[in-house]
Amino acid sequence: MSDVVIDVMTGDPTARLALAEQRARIALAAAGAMLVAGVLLMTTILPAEYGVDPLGTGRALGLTSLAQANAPAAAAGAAGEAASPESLEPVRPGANTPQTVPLKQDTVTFTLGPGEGLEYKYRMEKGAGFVYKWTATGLVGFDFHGEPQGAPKGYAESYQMAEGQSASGTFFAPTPGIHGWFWENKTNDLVTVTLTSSGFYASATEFSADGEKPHELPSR
Amino acid sequence: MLTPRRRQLLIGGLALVALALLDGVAEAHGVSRRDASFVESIRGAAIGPFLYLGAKHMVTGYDHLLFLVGVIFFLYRLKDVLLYVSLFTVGHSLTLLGGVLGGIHANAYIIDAIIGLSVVYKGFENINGFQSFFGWAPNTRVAVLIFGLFHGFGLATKLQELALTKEGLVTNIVSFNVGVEMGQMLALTFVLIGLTWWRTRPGFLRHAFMTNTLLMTGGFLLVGYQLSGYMLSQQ
Repeated sequence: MSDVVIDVMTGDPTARLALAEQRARIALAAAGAMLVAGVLLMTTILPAEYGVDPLGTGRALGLTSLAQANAPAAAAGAAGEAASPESLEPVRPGANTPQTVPLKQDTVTFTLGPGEGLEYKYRMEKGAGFVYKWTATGLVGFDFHGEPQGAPKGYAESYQMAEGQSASGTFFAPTPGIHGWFWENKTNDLVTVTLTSSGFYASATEFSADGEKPHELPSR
Repeated sequence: MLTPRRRQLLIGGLALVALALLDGVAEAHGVSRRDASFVESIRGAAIGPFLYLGAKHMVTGYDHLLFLVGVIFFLYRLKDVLLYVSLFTVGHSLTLLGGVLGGIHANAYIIDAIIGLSVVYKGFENINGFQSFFGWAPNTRVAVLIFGLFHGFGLATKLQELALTKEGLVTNIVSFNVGVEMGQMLALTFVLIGLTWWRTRPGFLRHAFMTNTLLMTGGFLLVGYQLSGYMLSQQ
């Protein structure tokens, strides 16, 4: 292999450069590589990726706006956790989605033993929405997700996955199907989860080790 | 020696490579957000999706690919290609499996910076930099194995960014790993076809120096990009 490499130095298999000349060439190549990389970093990559703009070139080229758009995702990524879906969800200013099903409200309480899990989901049409808030008396892992109608059994789209003791928000169903939470008690004690919501869902179902249980929902 | 037609081809090819790199950069950290939310929704073993994600990560993982191009650049015999690629595979499989299963959380920026450094190393060694300057070069087989270990940690950090459930964890990681190897084979096939053709051209040796200098440039870029990311994340 070393013969080949020496050939590379000269570009001509018959001639060989003196070692000093070879070194100068390699040093030039290495320095050039570092210089080009440094210039590209300073002028474009740092401004575009991190919003750091030491030479002002990022602003001139409009690259810093890229970093701003990426900022929430990058910050969450740097913290070593997946970006939460909310920060990626586009804001829909002033959008009105007329709803056809009656407005309902629901308050339920579940008690979970240590390590026990439970699911509670609302049946919704595409575009139907609800507001919600849930709190737990201890740490729970949760997965806010949906199962699109007609999707293979066991398929789910996750909207938010984390651990905590409460969450609240506004949700619009991206697909027709059932949408709701899986909670898992992460403590060694009993934990009570209380969910309150109001919105345009048709019905609710509880999925636990005991099987499926439909819930009656009053109309408002 | 380069006919205008050939020069056009070369420039076109380089432009394509540059585009591919830019596209990769835009996608940033390997497993895209859409794939991520899918992975997070999986409970239990899912061989197919993880095979695919592993292969996709390798084919679109420009840092791994740059290193591999550097490694096989001057390997003319298939036997050597297989030997070096096997060493790389053993290295990264060990740390990919060990890292995820052992719950070792390496800093992704630092690991990716070291991966960038591996590209610089290979480019420098391909232009005979170590021999000319120090009269001594690191054992390339050992180097490929060791850098393979770091590449595996890189793959592990990408998998750990996803909230994997415990059910089917081993099956899923092994599937991801096998997918990585499939993607690597696929990418290597194309790189080898390209290199083999290029070697028959008279300009190969002259351009080899330039190409490996560009490889070093890419490596330095990765190092700088990841290290500045690391420093900013520490503020």
